[in-house]
Formats: sequence, C-alpha cells, structure tokens
Amino acid sequence: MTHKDALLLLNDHIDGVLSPDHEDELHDHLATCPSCRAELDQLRALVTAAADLPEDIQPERDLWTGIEQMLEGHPRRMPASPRRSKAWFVVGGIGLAAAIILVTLGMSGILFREQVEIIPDNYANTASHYIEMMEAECRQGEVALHAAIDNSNESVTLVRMRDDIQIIDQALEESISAWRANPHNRRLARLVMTSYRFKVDLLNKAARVASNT
Amino acid sequence: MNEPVNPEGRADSASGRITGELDLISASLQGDRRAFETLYTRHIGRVFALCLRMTGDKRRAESLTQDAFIRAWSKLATFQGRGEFGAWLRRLAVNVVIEDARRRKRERGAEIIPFVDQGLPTRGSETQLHEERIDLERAIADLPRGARHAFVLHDVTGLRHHEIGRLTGLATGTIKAQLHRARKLLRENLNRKGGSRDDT
Ligand SMILES: [Zn+2]
Repeated sequence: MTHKDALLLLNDHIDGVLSPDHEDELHDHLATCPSCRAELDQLRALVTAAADLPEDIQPERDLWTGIEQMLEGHPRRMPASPRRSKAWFVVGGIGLAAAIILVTLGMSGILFREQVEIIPDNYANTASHYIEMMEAECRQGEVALHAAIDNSNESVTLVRMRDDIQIIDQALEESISAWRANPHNRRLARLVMTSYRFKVDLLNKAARVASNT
Repeated sequence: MNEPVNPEGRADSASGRITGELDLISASLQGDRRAFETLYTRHIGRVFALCLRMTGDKRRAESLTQDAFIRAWSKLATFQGRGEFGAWLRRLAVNVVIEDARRRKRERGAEIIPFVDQGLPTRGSETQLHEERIDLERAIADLPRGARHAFVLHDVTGLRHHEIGRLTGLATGTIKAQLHRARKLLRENLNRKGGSRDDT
C-alpha cells in the first residue's frame, strides 16, 4: 500500500468500516510510516473531542412558552384506521386509538423497566409457550366475536370492535417478529406477552358487548 | 372499565426516571400539557444542542427546537416505544432541521455562536480543555452545511452512516465524503486556532 492510499483509508479505519484486507494492509503501512501514524493520531484526537462535547446545551431564552401556545393549533394525528370516518370507537371510556397507543406505551414501559436484556434459553421457551397459549385463547374469543357479528346482523359496534382488534393484531405481528428475531431479548418477549394480554382484554370487552346486544 | 390500559403500568415511583417518562408520555397523549412540559424540560438541552450544532445559528436553532417539540406533540402517538424516547425526539429534530435546510437554497452566513456565554460545562478547572471545546464548537459552526450535518450527526451525536442516510436521504458515499471533508476542514481550522493561541 502506498502512502497516498493509506492516507485515504485512515477515516474509514477509525470509523471501523474498512474491509479486513485493507485493515491488514493499512496496519503494515502504519508500522513503517510515522507520517501516517501522526495523521491518524490527529484524526483520532478530533473524533474523540467531538464525541466528548457536552450533550446538553440549554437555550438562553425560554422556548416553552412559544411551544405551548402552538400546541392548541396542532391536534394530534392518530394512526389512520381503515374505514373509520368519525370518532374512534370507545372502549370503556377510552378512545381505541388512545388505547392502542397506551398499550404500546405500556409495553414500552415494560421494555424500559427491564434492565436485563439477555435471557436464558428456558425463558425464551417459556415465552414461546405463553404465545401459543395466548394464540389459542384469542382464537376462541375471535371465533365468538365473528359468530356474534353474524348473529347480530353485523352490529356496527361489533364490526368496529373486530376492526380495532385487527389493528392490534398488526402491532402484535410486528412485536412478535421482532421477538422472533431476538428470541433471548426479555424486553421483546415481555412486549409480546403484554400485547396479548391487551388483546384478550379487548376480546373480553367485545364478549360483554355481544352479550348485551 | 376505566382502569388504566397500560396493564403493568403501576404507579411505581421506585422504578425511577424511565417509568416516569412513560407515564409522562401517556399523560401527554391524553392532552396533559404539564406532563409534556416536564418531557420538554428533560430533553430540551439535548434537542437544542443538536439543532444548534446542525444549524450553527442560535436563532434558527431556537425556532427549530420549538418546531421539533410541537411536532413531537402532534406525532407522539407514533412513538412506538421501541427505543428510547430521547432518541426518537432527536431523530424528529434532525428531520425538522434537514427539512428546514432544504427549504433554504442558501444559508445566511453562520452567526458566530456565543458558546462562551452558554455556560458549557467544564471539567473542574481544566480551562484549556474548555477553550478547546469552544474552538471546536465554533469550527463546527463554520463548516459548510453538508459537512457540518455529517460531522454533527456522525462524530458528535454518534449516528452510523446508514442512519444518517435514512435521515438525510443521502447515499452513504456522499455522507462519508462530507464527513471526511468536515474532519479535514476542522483540523485545518483548529490547527490555525491552536497555533494562534500558542503565540499569545
Ligand atoms: Zn504513510
């Protein structure tokens, strides 16, 4: 490797994105070239200094007042629901969109609260077993819900509930696939478990609505 | 029927700041502005630092910081909880800064930022280190925009090339080129400053 080539690779080297072959060649060159070593030291010093800059800088003037005034004019955008024209269906006094979001947050609450990320094999098995159980339990509830929809001549309320459960299913699917990709991640396992518990809860509510119609 | 939907979200003050943060987010989602203000207070320093360094312009950084929090309020529902809230917020701020930069064909000359007046933390009495930091902040502010964005996002904030690519819509090659250019310009600039300080 020529001195010129080596100089071109120093940035990628400190960023850790150099191919192993180039790393070897650069390593050999550095051993023989004080100029490149000096260049590398300077570069590293700069990158270290940048990383050491304070993360926090407080603005000199109050920015909150201006923000708060603007919040009024910025209603919250909820994730779009299919075929939902008007208000969100209300479950137990809580807008379903909010409920979904809250469960997401609830899940993340568990995510954040769990300090331990790596879990042993047997825990992964337990979670996997749990999912199977919940699948079965949900399936029962869903069958009952579909039956109730048919028996009620497509009650608007129940149809909406079914749609809402489908939205939760999408979220559930995502969390399951994330967990499958990282089966030892306790946080993800918990995320899935909590989503299921929420879905079951909603199905139970649907059953109560069905029995009252 | 009206119990909290968060199934394990017991009011657990013992679990500390992170749990508190999620409670704050939940409350904000229900329209509680005081909760959102607390989130603002916790995160303003890091969001402002990012906007300030990316723009090199204090006034614009202030206004973009406000935009970022207003957007956070309206998009809070899309925070999936699949990561740290602060990181989500900072990504959102980066988007706000980049959209703003795209809207402007040319930037005004970067205002010199009075970092000295901003009470940057110092480590004990290491004033030399403090001076070097201020020099570095100024030199970053003086960089051309593309190089500045690449440097702030990669070397200061610690994002990886592909994350920066997602945020800026630039190819990795472009980001690398801007980053390497930024480092070269910074070193030239700082060597000049260091030299002139040694002379005095
Ligand atoms: Zn060399």
